[in-house]
Amino acid sequence: MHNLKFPIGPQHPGVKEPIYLKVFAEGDTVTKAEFRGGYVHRGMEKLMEGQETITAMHSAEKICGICSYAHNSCLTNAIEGILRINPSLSVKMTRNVIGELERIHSHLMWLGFLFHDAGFDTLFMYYWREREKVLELFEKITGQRVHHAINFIGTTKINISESDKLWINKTLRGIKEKVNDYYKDLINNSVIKERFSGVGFISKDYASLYNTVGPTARASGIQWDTRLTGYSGFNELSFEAITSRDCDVYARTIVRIKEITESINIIEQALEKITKPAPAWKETWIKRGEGYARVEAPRGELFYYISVKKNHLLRVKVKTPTFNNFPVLLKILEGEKLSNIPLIVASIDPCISCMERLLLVKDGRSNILSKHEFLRRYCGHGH
Amino acid sequence: MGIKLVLTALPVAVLLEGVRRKLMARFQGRKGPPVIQPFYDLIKLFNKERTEASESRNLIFYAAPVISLAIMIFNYLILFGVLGFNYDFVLFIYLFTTAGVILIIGSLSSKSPLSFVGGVREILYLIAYEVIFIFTALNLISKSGELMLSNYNNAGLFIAPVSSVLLLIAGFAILKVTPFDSPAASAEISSSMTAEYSGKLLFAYELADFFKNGLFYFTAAILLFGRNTYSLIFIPALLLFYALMNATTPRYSFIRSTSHLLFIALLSIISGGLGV
Repeated sequence: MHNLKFPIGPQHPGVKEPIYLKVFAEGDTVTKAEFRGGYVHRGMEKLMEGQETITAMHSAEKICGICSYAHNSCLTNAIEGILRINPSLSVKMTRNVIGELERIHSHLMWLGFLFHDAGFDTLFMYYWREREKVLELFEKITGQRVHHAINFIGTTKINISESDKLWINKTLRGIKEKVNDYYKDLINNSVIKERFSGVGFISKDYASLYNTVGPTARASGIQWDTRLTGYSGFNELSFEAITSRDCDVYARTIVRIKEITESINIIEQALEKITKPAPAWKETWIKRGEGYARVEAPRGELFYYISVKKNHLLRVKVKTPTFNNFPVLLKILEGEKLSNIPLIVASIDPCISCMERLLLVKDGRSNILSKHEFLRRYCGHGH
Repeated sequence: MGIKLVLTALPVAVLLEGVRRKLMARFQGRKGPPVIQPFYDLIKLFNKERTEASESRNLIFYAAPVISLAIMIFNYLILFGVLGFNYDFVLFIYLFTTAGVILIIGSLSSKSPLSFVGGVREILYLIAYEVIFIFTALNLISKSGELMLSNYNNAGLFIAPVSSVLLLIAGFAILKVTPFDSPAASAEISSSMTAEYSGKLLFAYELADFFKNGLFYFTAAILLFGRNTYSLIFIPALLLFYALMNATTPRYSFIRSTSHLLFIALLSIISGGLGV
């Protein structure tokens, strides 16, 4: 088993989205890992260029199927920043409820994937059953399970009624109870502890050196959460950034489970602060402006830079959390066992369709291409 | 009589897989597939087109699943006395191992790195569980004074309890049940050993695997509870036990599971020597 070249992906049960990891191994130990992406590049940034602001908000949602609302809210915040619009507290809290529900759904889905990779399909099913309840909440409140499209500039399309509030609270209490039950099973299960502990170790120094964000960074002891900056009314809510000093897969699991409980607490507070219905949408016009925004997506800090002219987007740049978290992955895979690779890859919660951007740098000039342009110029495809 | 038994036992072996899936689904709170789903799967596989990489095209790769399936059926024929001769534990273990080894050789000859890792894992597992199998059998032979498996009629669980429990643990590795299922880990090596097989070859492979699992259930019931009608009751009990364990434990990492299995093999040698 010397000098084994071991392919993981693009189609592999261990990675849920198409990436190609070429793993070099000596015996059962990984010596080097190489990454190749580009399988789900769709040229979303290019697509949004030239679109009207309100249309681009819907396009932004389509970047990701799991954290779609985070993209939408980040672009909305950037546009509102240019216009210097400060939405009412009720509007902000309605947005926060959806954002935090999305975090719960994303983390529950991730937990399912992690346990599936660890060969524990029962917990996979149990976590996904709870996730289904969150999706039902989405369907009831916004009319959609995945892409919610609730934001207008300065307001929201939806109103959360008193009966909705009761239902949300009741459902979330049920989820909290179940998640706590599973958490107890998790910390009492010796096989899980043995499997996850000490695996995929990202020290605090490495985490900050490689600029990791979100739960991956917090599990390595970095106390940073974009919500602590107080955007979108988070300064009115009491919560804390969940951190751990263990730095391994087990720590990342525990951090995400505790974040689910924390998100439920945030939603309970936010629902109480929704007192007035959302105001009607007034049409806005941006002559020229540049803006940026950052929000805490389920996987970490999401950043949008936009440049607007005559209410149309000139340039959009998206920096997703997986873009920050991925480089450290290739580093920590070195020296690990082959059987731990799926766990480590899953533990940073990669969202590949979010991450895939293409930047061609040629003769010192950078060039952003759409998928069709790229295929035409570099792959010999016609239209 | 014997041939009727075999003709019953072969479909039952496939049916046991269906029941196992149903049980797993119930433990996970799902409805689960119908009990005869494995038959549907096999029929579908049989009608599927066969494709393989040009590197995989060699005689061993094609022959391995078919030979393994033939040996498995032969094993059933002699277990139920169709061939009309008495046979001993040694022949049984020899045939049981050969069928497994041929599958490993087939997967190694496919030249796929995934199959290669899976094959190597299976070899290490095989070394461990064969030792447990052999020493449990030796212990039962010495306790009952009967070399012929066809004449064996004792409840091993009562005459050699420690060895019998160790055999049940070896069953995890044979049936590829968590926590000892590293060779069949889909998330790690995409079920590896079958990675390059498709169509009718995969059909033969899967069928041989179902027969192997069924044979383990039948043999374990005979060894642990004696060769009589009542021991048939224990086959569902074994099925329930393994399904429950599969539903409630995650997978050990490969190195850890192999070291655990080798330790259990060592224990089986000691318990065989002590006769407990």
